[in-house]
Amino acid sequence: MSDNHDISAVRLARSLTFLALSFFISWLAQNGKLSTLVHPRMNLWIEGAGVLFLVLAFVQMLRLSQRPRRSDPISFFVPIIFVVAITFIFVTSGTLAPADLAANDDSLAVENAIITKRNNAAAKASIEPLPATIQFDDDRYWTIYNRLYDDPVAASGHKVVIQGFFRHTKSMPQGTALIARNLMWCCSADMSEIGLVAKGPDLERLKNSTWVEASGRLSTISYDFSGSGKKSEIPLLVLDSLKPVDKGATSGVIFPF
Amino acid sequence: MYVTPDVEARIRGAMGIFISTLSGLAFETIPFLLLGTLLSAAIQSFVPDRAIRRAFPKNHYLSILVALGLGVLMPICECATVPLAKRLREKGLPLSTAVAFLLAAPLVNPMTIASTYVAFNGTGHAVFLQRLGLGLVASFTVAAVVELFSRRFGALEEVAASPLAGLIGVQSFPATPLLFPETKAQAAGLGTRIIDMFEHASYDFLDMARYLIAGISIAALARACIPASALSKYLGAPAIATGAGLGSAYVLSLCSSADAFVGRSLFAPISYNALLGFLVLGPMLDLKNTILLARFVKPQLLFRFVILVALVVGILVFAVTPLMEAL
Repeated sequence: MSDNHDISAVRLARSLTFLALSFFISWLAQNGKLSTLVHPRMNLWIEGAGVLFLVLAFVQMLRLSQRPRRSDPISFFVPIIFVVAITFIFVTSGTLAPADLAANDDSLAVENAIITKRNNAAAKASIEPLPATIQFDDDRYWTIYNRLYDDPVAASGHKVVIQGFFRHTKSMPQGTALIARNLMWCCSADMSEIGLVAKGPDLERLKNSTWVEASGRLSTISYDFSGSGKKSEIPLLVLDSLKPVDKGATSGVIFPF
Repeated sequence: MYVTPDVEARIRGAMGIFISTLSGLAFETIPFLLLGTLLSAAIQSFVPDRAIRRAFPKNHYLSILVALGLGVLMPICECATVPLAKRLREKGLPLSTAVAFLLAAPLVNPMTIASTYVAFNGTGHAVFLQRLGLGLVASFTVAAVVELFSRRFGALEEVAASPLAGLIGVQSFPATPLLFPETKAQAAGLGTRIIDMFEHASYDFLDMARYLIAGISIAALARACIPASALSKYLGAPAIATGAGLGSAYVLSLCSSADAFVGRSLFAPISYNALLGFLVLGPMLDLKNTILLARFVKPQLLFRFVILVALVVGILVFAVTPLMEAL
């Protein structure tokens, strides 16, 4: 193999790597999968990076026959391929995710719509008195969550309807489970579950990550939810009904701002 | 081999956290690494060495002060600062100035300040000012120590054996020499310079991406194996709490533009020491950036640098937290 041929192979490999990244980002954006990875405000950055990768690939192709001053060993390209493979598994598989992240293809549109109308709804929810029946809507989930946890006693006795994924761990008190969604501040690395601790019979029959609708009345429970050894009063949902429902276009991920 | 359902669930959970953390961190940081390498390549192709040197005071300590504020003009987070700090050093700025920029730029980034303000708005504490103030003091202190070491051991190019010499130093870069000598690059036409800029960026991005991805993978593994709630059991004593805050900021490797919210949920109700340690160290240094720095710095020197930064931040936070908590 001639020296020139090797050098061209390096440029070709660079070019193909950038092209692969660019197309992968484009695929993620087109399919609404970006919202399972990062906060919607990051979309523009990532899509911009996709365009820049295309430019870098083009520049490498322009110089395909020229010898690069600095050559890249194979190890330069492997990590990128690794990340693309891992991310592909993450966005296409609901089973490996820590919670229900397998949003359908309409999720991005739904979540973007939530972001645009959240401000008004959130502001309204924070000043209005709590209604007799509290609905955990997509666009008010974060606000209502905060309000109930800020003053659980004031909310006691109110009826609640909430949709989310079912979660039970051994560390939770006997006969309780969590009805929750994932809260994302910036990306899927900082996600955490937020929701209500629910109490009711036969909770063991449901599998973790099942999408459910729960309704019941609020009470309070003394619970060490931070794991610090100090218990505090938090809302408790005493269940009237708990049933698996079709998730549809409902978002499993909540963006607080 | 028989695996109990409980163990299987734990393994699946850990795998889920590893994959989601790795994917999230990768797609959050790659655009900024690309931006950093492009800015770095633009400086290389378009800005002469002497213009950079002229922009900074000759007095090294004043130069450090200028570098501390430079991040306001270049609103970038920590992934983009490494290639830029490297380029500033290559352009002939003192090592201490490059270190000051490396540590402080993500702290003075307007996005970091704004998100910290929003996260703690209404808590009764001006946490965004405390974070900014403590971070700048810590960055100046570390850069001043680097400067003192440089003076103690003479000219930077002669101090290969000194403890901090390898950090972003000229002697660390023989593996990545400049693609084109500056005289040739500056003499070229605009079109050639633009192509050269993308050429630099292509190489630097692929070169640094593998280190960044290695760092992210280790951070994701750590997050999968160590639940964040495990830390909260050890937050009673202020010294241990400060260490826990520093440790979690380092290992979690979160983006400085959003880590304030995570810090609040992890530590705000429990320990102010841990909270400040987490908020101040996070943008300055974390696991993924350490691995990225390993591209240019010998492991022994890098280890000492990490310890120095952690000690300075830790001592500072431990000393002033009672005062800050009262404000």
